[in-house]
Amino acid sequence: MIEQILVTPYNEELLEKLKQKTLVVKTDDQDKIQLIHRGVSKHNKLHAIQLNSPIALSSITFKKEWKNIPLCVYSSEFGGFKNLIPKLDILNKLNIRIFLSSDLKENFTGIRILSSLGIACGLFFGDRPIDWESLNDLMHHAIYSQTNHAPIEPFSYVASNYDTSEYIDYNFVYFNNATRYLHLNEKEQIALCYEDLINRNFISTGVESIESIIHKQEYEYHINSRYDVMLSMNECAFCPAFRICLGKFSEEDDKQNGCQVFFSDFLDAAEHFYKRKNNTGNKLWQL
Amino acid sequence: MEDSDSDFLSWDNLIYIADFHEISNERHIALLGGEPTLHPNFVEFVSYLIARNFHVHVFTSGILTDEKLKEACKFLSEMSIEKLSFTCNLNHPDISTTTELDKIDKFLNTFGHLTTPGINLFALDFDISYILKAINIYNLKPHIRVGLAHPIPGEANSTISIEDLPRLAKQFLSFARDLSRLKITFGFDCGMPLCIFSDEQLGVLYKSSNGKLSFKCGPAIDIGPDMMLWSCFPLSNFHKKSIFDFNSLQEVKSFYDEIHTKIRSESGGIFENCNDCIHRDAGLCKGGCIAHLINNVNNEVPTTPKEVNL
Repeated sequence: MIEQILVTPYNEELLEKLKQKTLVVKTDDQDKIQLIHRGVSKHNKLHAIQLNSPIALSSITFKKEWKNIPLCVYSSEFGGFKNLIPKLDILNKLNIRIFLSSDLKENFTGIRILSSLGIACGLFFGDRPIDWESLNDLMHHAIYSQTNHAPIEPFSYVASNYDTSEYIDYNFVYFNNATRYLHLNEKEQIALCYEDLINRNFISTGVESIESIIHKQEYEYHINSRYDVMLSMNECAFCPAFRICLGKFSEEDDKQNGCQVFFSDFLDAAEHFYKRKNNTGNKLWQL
Repeated sequence: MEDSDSDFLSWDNLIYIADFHEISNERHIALLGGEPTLHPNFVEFVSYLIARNFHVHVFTSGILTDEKLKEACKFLSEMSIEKLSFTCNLNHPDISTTTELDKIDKFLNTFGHLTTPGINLFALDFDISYILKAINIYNLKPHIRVGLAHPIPGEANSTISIEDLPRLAKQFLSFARDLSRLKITFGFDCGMPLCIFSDEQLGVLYKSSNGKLSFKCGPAIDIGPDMMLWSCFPLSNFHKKSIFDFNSLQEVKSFYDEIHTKIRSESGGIFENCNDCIHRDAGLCKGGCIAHLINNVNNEVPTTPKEVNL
């Protein structure tokens, strides 16, 4: 069984109780990154520090001291490239993935810039309606571009891990799949996904209950909830791209011109990548 | 990060162009205009391309607003010439305003070490002594890029007539001694015909140019902000194609090479004896700028009723 990783806010008291666990520690304060790293590294395995930046990416002061820290930065806005220019040298040396919100059109360009400069990056889905065309353009660039560029998530994850016989959940990229990640807050309330944590839909309370969560029926229901759209005969049930979307946009109004087009193209791209990866030339007959 | 006016090259298009160059194994990108420094993202674009390991060459008048120069100085003045270089076409001080001269002075004081001076010859009574002085004052690269103003077919622009080209050659040779004395080399830009110089003059030029004389004319490949391509500035209205029609710069170059070859198969060069010229056959000279040939065809008397434009 794969050990579950706990996604937790930075709280020294809470961390004291999570010794020996593998952690993703969240903070919105860039000045605490080194402190968190020092604190967590003593008794835990640090999977990553997630900085939810309240300021634009280009305004963050990236430090060379972050060099060996697994970092994941979420920012709603790319900001001005001019501000980023003096930081590119440092950024290229960090163990970092940068995620920008889909809410701003400029962020799509920002991701292309970062990727072309060799900085691993990705898009996270914001609150505003998704610009499916821009998303599709970015996906095509991420998967088909022949130039050297850093991975763009979640496209790179799906392309690299896609298997024709399996469903794939790109939420792993966002530490948001209960088979690997559990989310908890400072009150030790535990949820199976980030949305449940925000909506106070907890599966249990108390650090000591973590081990037993996977044996709970609610856990199993949650893991299998992807099939709900099938049972409800939602439009998603008939979508060929369900295997890589898993009904995440089942609430979309105009699926046929939006998510279905995008995810069908995304599936084609994933299959193309899969075939290329697995095609090692003509197979020789076996001796 | 904003894409401002749609008349300017956008960020997305810049990234595409950079990718296109990378796929084509081309690590050199030249930015020209109009005046490229007028682009609101000029400094950002140059910095971005350099960060992608391209060598960036900027063709500029050197006339920048104080604000733009300050910004360029902050981000670009420490760059090495292996990453960034400029060609600054210097007009004679007599035809420049005081404000222009002041701005060029500031630009060259900041970026002189990265700059090659250039002159565009569009009149016979030209002088280059002010460029020789500028090289000394601003520590410019001791090399002058000598361009010839070519006609733009269908447009009226200042050029030197074909008949006057030998006089231009003579005028240029009058500076050869100074160039040698000051150890300043020069290079001809495209479209200079070989035969406007005598053998003796060519010998002098050979030494002054460090043996790098060129009498070529071929596709330079320009890309517009709208992602349309054309062969070179004089042919900016001819055979425009979208960059998206091609997979590499090599394909683009082949396309325009073919067009050049077709045009030159009709008429070898700008002079009548170009057709029989052994130096053109040997590839030493292309026979002058192709824009002259197109102009000649356009100015021919129509021979069939079909060609008469009413």
